[in-house]
Amino acid sequence: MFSRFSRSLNGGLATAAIAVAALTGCTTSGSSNDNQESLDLGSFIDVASLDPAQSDVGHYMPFLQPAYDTLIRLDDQGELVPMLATSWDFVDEARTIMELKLRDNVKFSDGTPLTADAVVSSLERFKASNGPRSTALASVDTATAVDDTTVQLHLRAPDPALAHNLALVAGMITNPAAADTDLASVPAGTGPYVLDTNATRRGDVYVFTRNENYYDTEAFPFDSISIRVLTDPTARLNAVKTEQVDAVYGAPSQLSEAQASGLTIVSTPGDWQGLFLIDRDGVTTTALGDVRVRQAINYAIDGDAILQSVAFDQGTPTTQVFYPGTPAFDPKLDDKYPYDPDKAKELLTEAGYANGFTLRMPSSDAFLPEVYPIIQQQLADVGITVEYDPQTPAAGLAPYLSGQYSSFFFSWGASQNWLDASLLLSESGAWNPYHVADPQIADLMSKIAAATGGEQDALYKELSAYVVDQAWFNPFYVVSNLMFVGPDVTVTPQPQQIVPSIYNYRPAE
Amino acid sequence: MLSFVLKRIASAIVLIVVVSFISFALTWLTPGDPARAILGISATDAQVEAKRTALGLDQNVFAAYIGWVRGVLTGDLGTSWFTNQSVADSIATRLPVTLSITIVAILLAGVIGVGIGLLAAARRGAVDSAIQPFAVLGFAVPNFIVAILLITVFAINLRMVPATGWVDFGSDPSLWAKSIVLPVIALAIAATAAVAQQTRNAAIATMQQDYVRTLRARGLGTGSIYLKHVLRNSAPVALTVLSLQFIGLLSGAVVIEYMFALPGIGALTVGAATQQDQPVIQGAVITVVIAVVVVNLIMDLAYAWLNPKVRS
Repeated sequence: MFSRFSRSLNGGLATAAIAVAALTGCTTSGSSNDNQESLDLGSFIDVASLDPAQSDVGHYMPFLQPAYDTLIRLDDQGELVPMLATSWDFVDEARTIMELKLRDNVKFSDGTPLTADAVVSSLERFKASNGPRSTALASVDTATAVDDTTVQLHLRAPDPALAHNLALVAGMITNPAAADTDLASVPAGTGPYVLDTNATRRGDVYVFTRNENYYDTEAFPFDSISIRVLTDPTARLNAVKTEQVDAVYGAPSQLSEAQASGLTIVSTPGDWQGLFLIDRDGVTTTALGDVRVRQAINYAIDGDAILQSVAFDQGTPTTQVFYPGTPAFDPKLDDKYPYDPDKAKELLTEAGYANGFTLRMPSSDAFLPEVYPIIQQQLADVGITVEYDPQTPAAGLAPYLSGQYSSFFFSWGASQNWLDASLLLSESGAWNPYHVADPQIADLMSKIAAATGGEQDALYKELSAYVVDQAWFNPFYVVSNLMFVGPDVTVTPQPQQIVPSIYNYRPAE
Repeated sequence: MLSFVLKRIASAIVLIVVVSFISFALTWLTPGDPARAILGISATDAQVEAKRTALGLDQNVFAAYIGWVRGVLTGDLGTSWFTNQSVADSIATRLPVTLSITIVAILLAGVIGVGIGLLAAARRGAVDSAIQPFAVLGFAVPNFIVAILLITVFAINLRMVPATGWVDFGSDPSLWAKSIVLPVIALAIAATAAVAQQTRNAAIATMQQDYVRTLRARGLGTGSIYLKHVLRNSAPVALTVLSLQFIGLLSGAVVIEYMFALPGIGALTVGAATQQDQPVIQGAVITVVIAVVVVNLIMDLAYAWLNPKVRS
């Protein structure tokens, strides 16, 4: 049906095509970019700041990585590997002093050498900046330069996420000589590329060319990198289809069109989407204080069905909050709450809510609006009445973090286990808005902080199992992050990051 | 004439003050928390509080507005809360994009619309009947549908023009033309249809006037009657439609800028409005108000030129 329609459309508009060709004075494409020397990416959002101290991670990372190397790098398996630092070890029993050895042949883009003093000053600046990721260095009490290539970080308490954070924006070392310049618009780091300020138009396109002072040019096959801001999903898909860009972030709803266009699809686990049942002490909604009620909600929701209808089956059902493949993630836990409305009603009856209760939640048109009626219907089936307060997009995160609502639907980008545990589970965590204090969780987290290796991994799994059992959340599924990739490049996805790092791209053979 | 212009400028300033305060207050009083949105999911409450103070979000709406006006009077439109870019800079780089597509579209609509309208009025009969359905269709089909069709055919299937993006006129005029041709067509179709319809009706009404019959009787050529007399007397109607259409195009450009990934004012404003990026919203609002005032002023001057009665 559609192909017939489009064929007749092509014929009918042929005359108009000639008119357009005449108008533009050209009949062949001048827009496609066949130059494999350049990596051209399309980004879902504009970068907030090219200053690492004022930047978050995720979508922003490819904007910052060209100009800034990190102390430690996360490879495409999610493993920590050397970058500016060749080693990073805790040198004391209590694991509160981290010693980093620096590569000795690194220069900033202006030619000045990278020294331990520069690293210390960059870390101190980052910590004091009140940026989106300032908490990454909250555990660091002091940073000191032991000698030209050795830095010690003295911690207030053990921090199992520190090395991971040094592989993100906190570990991007800014040239101290540029600290007072407009770093938001013009980066000054040690990365393989520098921003071409003439070719860059903020909000539209960012162009990076090679940094002549880089220490490992061979590792980067592209002579330049450009990132275009393509907010509209259709515009993104059109740009990669017509080879204006090499790769874009894709939406599950566009998958079949992307496949039909011959694009390569690269997929990796992304956010988990589901309910935050945050009022675990029953302060606002008494019923949520009962673990049986929270478990009943987990049984009542058919995560698989929601995955099919809102995410076009691009993902995997889950029950846990930790990222697949990380130490805390245990595949066995995903069988814990099969869809079972009868079991849910049974648990509600046991808890004294045979006649149900009412849950008031925020709803939003900005993100997955279609999920709200499904949640409402499935919970209504077991007797729980959901009432929504619609929120404007401008309301942002406030409705979730204010403690105004005892539960809400959210999409959580899980990353390193300790970061997630600190934000979601610890008493002071921003995403534990009722600041529920669970002694079991506190005990496990303090043991994890002191442990290493296999012992730590086992404790993480125990923590995840406990949280699933206590039903602090109701994760429906882990949705897949998709990249649509054109013929000129290949790319491996980056675990725990919504888009691949720039290191993951290679020219196609 | 000078006092006419001065009066218009004075009323424009009042308009800018009123509109800028209303938009400022609406944004300020909308529930939301830009400080939390800027800092994201990892920030602590203390960080968010510090950010609120730094942005001046702890002030009341009047104090904040006065602070903003002070900045504007010294030529400082502020910095985007979300992209840390100077508002003046981003408007300066984005205004040419929006003006390129809207001005070219309105010129096309004016020339083609008036031409078609006059043709339909002059010939009536079969020509008029053939043009009418197209005019109605052109007016009825939303610009984004037109855009989807244009992109599919000319950018994706035929690869004649880029599907997305913008090239500066200064850096390459021919690539600039290619980057705006589809957006301009998508914008111009409805405006052309509207102008054609109004011109046709006005021209038909003018042609029924007694003086036209007199001109004919005196043996003036048909071409001269249409171009000198009918067109001149129907022009005020066409101009009114054009000025209204131009203002409409500025808002229609929002969707078109998104679909073609053009870095214009429309895309900037919508992005800023959903994030409550106050400095950017204010900068964009002022820019658009000034644009509307300028367009109206130009139209008034054009009326005055066409019709001496308006001048007095």
